[in-house]
Amino acid sequence: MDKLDRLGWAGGMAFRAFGARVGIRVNEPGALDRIESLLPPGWKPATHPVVDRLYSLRVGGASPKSRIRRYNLLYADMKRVGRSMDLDEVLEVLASDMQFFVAEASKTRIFTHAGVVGWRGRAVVLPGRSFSGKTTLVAALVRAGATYYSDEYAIFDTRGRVHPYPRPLAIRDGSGRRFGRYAVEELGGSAGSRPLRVGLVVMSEYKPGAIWRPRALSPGQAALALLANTVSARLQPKLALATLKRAVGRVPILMGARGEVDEVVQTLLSRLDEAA
Amino acid sequence: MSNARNKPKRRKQGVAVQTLADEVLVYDLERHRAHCLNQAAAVVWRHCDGKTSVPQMARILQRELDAPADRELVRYAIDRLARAHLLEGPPASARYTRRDFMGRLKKLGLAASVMLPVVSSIVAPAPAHALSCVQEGQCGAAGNCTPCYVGALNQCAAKRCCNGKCKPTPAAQNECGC
Repeated sequence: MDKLDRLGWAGGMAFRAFGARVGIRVNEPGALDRIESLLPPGWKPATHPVVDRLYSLRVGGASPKSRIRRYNLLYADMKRVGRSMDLDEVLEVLASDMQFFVAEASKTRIFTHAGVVGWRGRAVVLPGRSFSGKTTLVAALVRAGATYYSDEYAIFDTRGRVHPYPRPLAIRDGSGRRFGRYAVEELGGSAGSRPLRVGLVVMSEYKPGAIWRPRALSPGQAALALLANTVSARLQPKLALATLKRAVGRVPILMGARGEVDEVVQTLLSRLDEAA
Repeated sequence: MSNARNKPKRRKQGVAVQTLADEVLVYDLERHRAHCLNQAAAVVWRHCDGKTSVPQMARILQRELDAPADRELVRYAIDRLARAHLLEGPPASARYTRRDFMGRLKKLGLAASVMLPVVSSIVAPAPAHALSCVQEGQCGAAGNCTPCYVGALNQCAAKRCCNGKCKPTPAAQNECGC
């Protein structure tokens, strides 16, 4: 860390998010404006000088006195995590690493890899790994009138309620090989702001041509499935187990392969309406 | 028959336990495995106190599930629990198969879903496993086929971890190719 500390740092900031404290220092103060837009949803400025993780960003580019172009470099504590001539690439790495660190280090919340929407005061939680069609289903539910909560993490508090994490949706292009980020307003929806109790958990995976015939899971099996997608499962297993138990204790849990989203969306929303 | 098999004792050290309505969730803090015990397995596990014998457990199981249960069913449950390392002492060798009991319960006209002791298990994910997309350096921890990126994060849809490297995926969107 000493070597890094000796480099010239011209600006910095610190924030808290979900109980984790993060600091960022830069060699060009102008970069802080861009970084602020990348911070995890729900961040608040921190004044405490001690942080759990310190990011150091060296903005490179062309030097005015020579023809040498310098790399943009990013360090998480002492480890280099990003190196590119393209600053945007390094900033994306910073955003991703910060979000993951907050998910991992949070001592007050459990981060489970899942999409979440709100419907009539209840949360629909859609756990699943990448390529299971989670974001597609979230976007379709938002278009159908649901409130957007997250396309990445279901954030549970110790009472089992889900908190919003409304980062822009990462929607893949037609080829499915690259994605762009879209604000929920671009889909004609809005983001939720208050925590919700879980009303329905849906574990679905997109399979072309599949017909949605879900089977019900027991609460224990559902908690196990959520745990399998939980970032801090190994770091805080007791908290994770207790939290997930409260979250899914008395809610319907469906699991199955699905085809196109339109068929599923109406079924899910009708089911929630019946349960309300 | 050894006392450990006739009067088994459940593990109390190194496990975190949560009870749901009929089920029990157990997290093995040493092996980082999580287990869900269905009602029948949970009843047997709760009574594995080193004092209750197998015949006594059979009677308890019969009373709590309100269906006929015998020693073999209890031994089957103990086998399953031991194999999941939820009992003290060495794990038992597999003497009973699920198929044997399914057939047996069917013959007795009993609902297998209620009577058959089931221990469902998962390996708890390392933090990187639960990520939607990892940097190439995290591929080793995240495992094969996890979406990954080298430079730009928006390449996540096009690359997957393969033996510690972040490699382009085949053309079909859902293929891993590793």
